[in-house]
Amino acid sequence: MHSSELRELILDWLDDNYHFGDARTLMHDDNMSWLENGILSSLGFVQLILFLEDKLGLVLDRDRLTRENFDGMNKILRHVLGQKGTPA
Amino acid sequence: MSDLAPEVGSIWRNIAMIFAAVVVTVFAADFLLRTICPPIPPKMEFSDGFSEFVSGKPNALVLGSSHARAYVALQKKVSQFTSGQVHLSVLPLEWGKLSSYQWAIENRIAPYLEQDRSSANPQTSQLRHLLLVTEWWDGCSPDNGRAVNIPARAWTLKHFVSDVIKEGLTDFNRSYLTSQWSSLWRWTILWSDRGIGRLPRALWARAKGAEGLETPESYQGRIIWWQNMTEGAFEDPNCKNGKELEALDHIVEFTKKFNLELTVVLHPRMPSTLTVTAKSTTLNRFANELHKRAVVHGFRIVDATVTSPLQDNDFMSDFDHVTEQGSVTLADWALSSGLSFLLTLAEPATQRHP
Amino acid sequence: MNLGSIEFFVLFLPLGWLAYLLVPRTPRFQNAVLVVLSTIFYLSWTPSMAWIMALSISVNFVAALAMERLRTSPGKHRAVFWAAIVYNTGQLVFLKYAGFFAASLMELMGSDSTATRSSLHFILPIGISFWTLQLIAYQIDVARGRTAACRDFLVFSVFVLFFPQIPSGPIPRPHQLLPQLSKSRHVEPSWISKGAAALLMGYCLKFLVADGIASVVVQPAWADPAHHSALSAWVGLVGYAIQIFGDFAGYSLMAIGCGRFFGIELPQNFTVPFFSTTMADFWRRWHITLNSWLFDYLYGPLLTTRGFFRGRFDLGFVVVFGLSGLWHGASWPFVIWGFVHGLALAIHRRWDERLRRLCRTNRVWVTRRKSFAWKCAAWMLTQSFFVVSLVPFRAQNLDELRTFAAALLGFSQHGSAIYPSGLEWAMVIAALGVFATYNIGGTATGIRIWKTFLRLPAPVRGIGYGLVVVMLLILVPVGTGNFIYAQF
Repeated sequence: MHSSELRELILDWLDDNYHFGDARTLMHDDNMSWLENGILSSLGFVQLILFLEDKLGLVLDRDRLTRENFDGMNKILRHVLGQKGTPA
Repeated sequence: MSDLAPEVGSIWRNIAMIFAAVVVTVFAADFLLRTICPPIPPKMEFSDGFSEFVSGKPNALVLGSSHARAYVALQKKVSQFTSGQVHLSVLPLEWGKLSSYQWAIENRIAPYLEQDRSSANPQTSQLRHLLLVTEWWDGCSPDNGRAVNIPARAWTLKHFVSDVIKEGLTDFNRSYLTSQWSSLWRWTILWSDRGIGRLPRALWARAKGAEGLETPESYQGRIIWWQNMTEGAFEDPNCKNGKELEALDHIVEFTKKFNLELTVVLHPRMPSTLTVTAKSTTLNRFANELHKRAVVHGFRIVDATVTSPLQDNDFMSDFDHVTEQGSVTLADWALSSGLSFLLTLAEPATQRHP
Repeated sequence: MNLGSIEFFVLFLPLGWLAYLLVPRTPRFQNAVLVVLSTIFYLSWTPSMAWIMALSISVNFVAALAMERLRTSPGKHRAVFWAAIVYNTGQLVFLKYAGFFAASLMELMGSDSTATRSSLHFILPIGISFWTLQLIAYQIDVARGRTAACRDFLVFSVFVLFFPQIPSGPIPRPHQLLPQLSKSRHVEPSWISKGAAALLMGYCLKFLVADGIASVVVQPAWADPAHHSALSAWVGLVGYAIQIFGDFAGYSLMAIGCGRFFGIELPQNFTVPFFSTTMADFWRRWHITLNSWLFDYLYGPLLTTRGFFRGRFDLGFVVVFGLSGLWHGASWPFVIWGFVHGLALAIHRRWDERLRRLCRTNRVWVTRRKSFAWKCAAWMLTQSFFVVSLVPFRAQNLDELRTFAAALLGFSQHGSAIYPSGLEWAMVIAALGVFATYNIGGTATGIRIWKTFLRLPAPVRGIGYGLVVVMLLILVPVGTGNFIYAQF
């Protein structure tokens, strides 16, 4: 999967579940922390992980799955796309 | 709040100036506040009484909690009526319980008596009597099993060091350090008033007058608190377990060993704080326990709990301690009734009965 | 000795700090001073249990190194990891919960459990509940390769023993503390300034707010709930909510302040929790280091596993908060408290899901959700729930829980009120003033006022701090000083 497609998928999910059409407006910087800027709570991250695993049919690497490695669009993209088994 | 903006310039100098300003402010405030509320002279403590005991050749010892301070009036009366021939030493052990008195006897009084009586010229040969001032509360063992106040009131440095080596620094032995530290600052009002509350009351009185220091509701509320507390003690496991009464047995042993007569004085309580239920339960149980032991060991009991002439206004605002005037009333009453024998302790007895 | 005691302020902290400043500024010397200070501090609490702490440090240090060496042998690596986890949890469970579990089992079978309870009641090493979690996090992070195993025993000893955090946390993560301890620390004057401010605010919260309110309204209401009116019981309960916040947030700030004196930043533990508008938000602001630990090491992994719990958010809440209740204390009221919070989170999550469905279909709901009235209602509901949930938290046993709950509902026997005097009310108002100051400090206005204060000349600021010290000396009750969370 391409980075921009994954980005759109995540933004759609954010819109569907948390921001109802405002996700793209809120996401002015792909490097911003979602936790610190109220984009997603820790519980939301768990939901996002489950969604991505189910949708993409992969198991994200738990060893590297920390707040520091997953908090923000770019970090998520890096983590998911760097993962073995991510659909091309 | 805690994220300060970084300071600029010579920060160390700023910090020194801040520290100096804090110190100056605190001492200046203390100076001003002392004009509103001067520090009270230190109260008589166990160590003061003990020094007097060692130097004073007493005929009788009066040992008790802070209530024992009320017996300084008795000490004066006895001295006055016997032209100074009978001398009492008063040993008030603040917040003491029966186990605290036992500790003070075994670790301070008995070692001194042993040492003194084995000397060529004993100073305590005329000591004949121990008056133990107590009440039902002294029969309730503390939660942690150790009387909390001994370190602050009756310990010496030796006791502190040995306890720290054994137990580490605990809340129990820390009170020795705290009291030593506090004694350094008795001349200040800000420190010496901590835990006493005279200063806030004086500030309040200056701002608002006496009104609001105590409302009729808060007065009544405190009376009810005392009543409930006294009644509730009947079912309190710490008050029914009899542990503190075991200390009384040790105290009796001590009096026998040193050939002293024992009189247990049940100290008066403020009348309004006692309900009929409290008298028939908590107070009665404690008195009965004492009477049982009195029969076995042959000591005297003077029960002043409710029989003394003291009224509510003879008690301080804490509803617990007797006022100076009340102490005189109590002394007169005691010397004309259960404690009249004190006047005959000197040989030959001086007959100037009140 | 605790962080509020006289000997700490008069002897331990100044002398310890002086020693820290005087030794060569290298990690080895600085850590050696911290180990000595922390050992003295620890021994002042439970010296007879010191060997448990020493053993824990040694076992965990060796286990992590072994795990790293065995990374190429997955079986052995896993065995060492689980041995370390079992050792840490086993130690906590045995010392803290053996009596509770055995007694509960006996009571269930109808036998008298008093003897069992007392024979299995051990003196707990101070802070064991806190540093056990810290060590488990360390083992998990090393096992997963998130943190390198610490190779310096001195550094690792300070990581576990660092005295401000020992009695009641905050619970630092390996990545937060180990890198700081591996480098030399330069004690910047600005850190001292920051540390002193945190220490002073913490001291005010603990000794003025928590202890002041406790002595005037909380203790009278809880000492004898059967004799108090519903109003008195409610005042006592709200007072307890403020007391427990002041007690724990105060301690945390004092610990953070002390850490800064030594050039070490401990993690924040509270960020104005009384501003929360949902319980989930509340737990992100209250005891942050515990709740983020529970989330990162328990809830998150449990919910994202391939097993039974995958995606079972609500069950996860109940289980994790039940355990959180048990962590707070080995008694049934704590367990009930935990379950109640787990249930509340589950109910709120369902409600939120439903609401989000409505938002998806109609944007009116998005606007409604952001409205002031909605937020006020949510705030009221959240805070009321938190306050009421403290009944099982404060109750010593199930009987007290029942009696206090009855008093809240107006079923007390006599119904008398708490009657503080005018002066006592004034002290409560002063305490509430400090409580409000802390909360305002969390707002933009508060931060602006604080920055203005910091721009004042140093002597003026000194007079300000001095007046706070005078206020503390006048109003702080004596004879208190034990921290509620130190018993967990």
